[in-house]
Amino acid sequence: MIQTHHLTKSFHTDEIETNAVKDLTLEIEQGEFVAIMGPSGCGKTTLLNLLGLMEKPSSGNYAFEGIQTEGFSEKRMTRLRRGNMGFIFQNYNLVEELTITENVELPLFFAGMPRKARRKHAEDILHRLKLSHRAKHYPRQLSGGQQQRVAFARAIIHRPKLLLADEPTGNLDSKNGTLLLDLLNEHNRSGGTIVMVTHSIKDASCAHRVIQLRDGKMMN
Amino acid sequence: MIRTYISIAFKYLVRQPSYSVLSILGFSLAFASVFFIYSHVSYQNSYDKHVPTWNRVYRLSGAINLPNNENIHALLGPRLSPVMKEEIPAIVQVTRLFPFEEKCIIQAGSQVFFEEQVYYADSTVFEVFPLQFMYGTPGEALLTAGQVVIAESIAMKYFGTADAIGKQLKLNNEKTLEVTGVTRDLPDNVHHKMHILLSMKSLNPAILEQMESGESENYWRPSAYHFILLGEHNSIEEVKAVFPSFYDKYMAEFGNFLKADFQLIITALPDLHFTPQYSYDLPKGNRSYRYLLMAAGIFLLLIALLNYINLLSASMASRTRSLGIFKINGAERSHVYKLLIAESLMIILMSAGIAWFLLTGVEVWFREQFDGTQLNSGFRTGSFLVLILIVFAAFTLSFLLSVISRVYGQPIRLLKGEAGQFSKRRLYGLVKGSIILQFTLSVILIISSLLITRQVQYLLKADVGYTTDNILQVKLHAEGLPVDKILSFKQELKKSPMVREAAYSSNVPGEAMGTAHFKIDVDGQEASKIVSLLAIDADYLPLMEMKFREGRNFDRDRPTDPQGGIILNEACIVFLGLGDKLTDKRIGNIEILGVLESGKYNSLHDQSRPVAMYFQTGNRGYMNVKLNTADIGGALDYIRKNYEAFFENIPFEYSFLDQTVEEMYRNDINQSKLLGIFTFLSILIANIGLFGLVALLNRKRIREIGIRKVNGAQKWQIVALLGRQLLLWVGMALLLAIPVTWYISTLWLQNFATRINFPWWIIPLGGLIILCTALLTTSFITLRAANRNPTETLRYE
Repeated sequence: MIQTHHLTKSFHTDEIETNAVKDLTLEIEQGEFVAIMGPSGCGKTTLLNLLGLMEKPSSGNYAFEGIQTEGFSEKRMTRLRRGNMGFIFQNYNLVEELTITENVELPLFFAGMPRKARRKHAEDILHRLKLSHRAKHYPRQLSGGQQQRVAFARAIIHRPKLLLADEPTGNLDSKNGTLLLDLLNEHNRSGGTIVMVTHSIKDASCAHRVIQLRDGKMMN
Repeated sequence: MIRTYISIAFKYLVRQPSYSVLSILGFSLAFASVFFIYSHVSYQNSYDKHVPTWNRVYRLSGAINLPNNENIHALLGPRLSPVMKEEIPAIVQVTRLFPFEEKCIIQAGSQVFFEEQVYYADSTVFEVFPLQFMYGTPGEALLTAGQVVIAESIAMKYFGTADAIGKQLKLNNEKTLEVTGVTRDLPDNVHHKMHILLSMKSLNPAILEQMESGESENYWRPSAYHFILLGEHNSIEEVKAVFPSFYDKYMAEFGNFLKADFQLIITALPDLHFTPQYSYDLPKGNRSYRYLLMAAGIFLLLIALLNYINLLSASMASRTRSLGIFKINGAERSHVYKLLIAESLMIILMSAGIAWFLLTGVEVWFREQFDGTQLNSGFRTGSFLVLILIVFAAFTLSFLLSVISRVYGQPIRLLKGEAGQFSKRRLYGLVKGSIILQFTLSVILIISSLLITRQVQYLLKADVGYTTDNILQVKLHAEGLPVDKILSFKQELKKSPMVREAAYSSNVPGEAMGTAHFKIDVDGQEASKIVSLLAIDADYLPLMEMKFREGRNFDRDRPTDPQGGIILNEACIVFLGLGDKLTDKRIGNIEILGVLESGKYNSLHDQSRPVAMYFQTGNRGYMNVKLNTADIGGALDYIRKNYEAFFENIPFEYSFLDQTVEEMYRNDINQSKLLGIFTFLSILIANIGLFGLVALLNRKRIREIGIRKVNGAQKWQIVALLGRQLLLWVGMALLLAIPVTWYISTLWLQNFATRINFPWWIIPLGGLIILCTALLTTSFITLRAANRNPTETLRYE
């Protein structure tokens, strides 16, 4: 599903060049659950962003489902991402101004689904995650665990082929962390591909494969 | 989809109340001002455009050029237009309006009214001005003697019904007239009202006969307003081209006698109200105020837009994160645009709604404040509203798009709440620029407003050469009554201790006066000069406290004074070029008895009019009464009682001299007040934007302030640091504003013959006003920043 070939991402600040991801070649199959680990600043999140088409590589190739993304415009990247990927972040990244339902249905809204249909989808998924009673609430009214479950609901509502998670349990207590990992496992079992950045060995143990990064390079 | 966009936009507005409220407030004030200015300007713009023929009708005036003396007469000889129609094929119809010198007394049943703008009109008047008839037939209404056509409102006032056909009116206690037509009212913005039109045949037969005479003077003698109607495919150039030969044929004879040139002035109907003031014309409007107000409107819109830019930029800082989330969840650039478009449209629509509400709310107040019909315009905002909204939406959106596209390309940074150093700097630069521009526009308005107020004050307080305090002017309308009655009335008034003095004059300041041709010897050649005439009695000049430069007042005991003496005002001496030692001189067989030090009888928009005063008491004019009491009501009652005893069936009408003088500048006073209001609003809106900016700026500098405080900076030093920047901006705004203001002011002051020198101190004053309001606006935020505990501020970052 994912092939990268000599993928590099550098940042420039005041004449200093930093390679966050360096010459990275990897392959991820459909249905895999991959964890990316490594010390702070090793380029985990940058790699996730590159895989999620949120940043463009400085050099190298990235193919998603056989589609080479090199030279893609911002619009094409958005469209490819919108149909195929979902995201979960450590700090949930819910829109404070919108209700839980509105947050969950955002990907469907931007995909152009009519209001009634997307509302139905949102209600179904919230029901499945036992969050129906929170549907009309705003993010700040929810606990951290609940917010992350909402973020999970939003990430999978459009049935993405690839779910990208950036330290999803980082802000959660162990009970809620486990709950979320269960959800991720369940999603994986039903055929979803997951790439998760994590510091936690426990979290990484859920994955089929662990990629170790150091100074932007793959160690294993 | 649209519903969702609106719903999200609405939530954003609710969640950022200070941004929404300040944006809406700024736009509402600007919209209300612009709607108001629009309706005011469109009212002025539609002057005399209510008849379908407006673009083919022209009024004729004549510039009569004597040596050293040009005089433009709005009234010309009665033969002029009828003969022009015969001679010039481009003219398909003409009509004349013969005005009365003064207000008319009209009696309807037992009621008596004073009416202005009553005309004798040719029967062709309804061909040139196709007024809408409610009753009667235009072709037959003014054919014979004794016919009158009145407007609907006049019919209602006189008879309580619009159907007044066959009813009778009595004019000036002499002529009986029958109503033969009732027309629909014209709006107030017409130069010649045409609400009471008498048939031309109702004129005295002797005058009618004289009018028909073909002598050359009959083309010159000021007696009628002439209107010509051109054919649909004709141009005014055709008339201009033929006129020189027309002049040679009919008018040159009297012109040669006067040693005068004649230049025909043709004014299109819609321009009539805005041309310079001519002799015998009605009071006019001033287009320069229209342009000033339009400029103020555009400035206000710009300021409001800049204000929105500032507030939006400030709010962008707090919304970049949610934009990042949208983007990661599949939002394309167009989605973000649509969201922001929905938001701006909501702000604009809400503002327009509030502006509409504000306008209808303050309309009544405005009308009371600016007593005058000029603002009585109704709000024709239908199409304009849409236009403004579209223009504004376009402006706002183009800005939004530019802001968004600048920060949009970096979703991950957006997500982290960073818009990138570069974007931040550009955003800040943009906001700073817009604040300076706002200040510049406000300073231009402040300085213009100060200048206009000062000029108007100068006009009101200018030394006109007479006192205006406590002088009551009672209108005399005693045609047909012996002059002795006027004299007895005067003596009766003087008996009261409440009256210090009473004196007769034919006119009051600001009024059109009769004129006379003086034959003067200029450098050995005889020249004819036209001066205004004012009839007064011997008590008038002392009552008005007018001072003599030379000579003496009229003397009742000298029998030659009434026939053989005149007193001239200062302007008259200059105009006639009489030089020094005037009392030795004579004009023809008239002796110059005295010369006044000043004596300005007309509005100071124009050069002081030359006035010659002669000794006579007439039965029309004014009884000027100098009051000797603070009990104005009591004095008025006393005078009214006497008036009614002396002049039965003639309404008692009075005014105070100071009000009469003020009336000459009514338009200036109103417009300067209006400009003052818009200036205030511009400052208010600019400061709303500034508030948003300073909030943003201080957030940006919180860390810097913290470090400075940790390193020993005092509170006042922090305040000074933040204030210095404001000072810099105001300074830049002043620099930008000075050339613009200088240009506008010089242009505007040209409207006044008597004007102030540009007072340079108003420039720093303008700057000071904007600086003070800006400091006041920002002091709260600045003091809060300065008072903050430095450990807290450093932790903030």
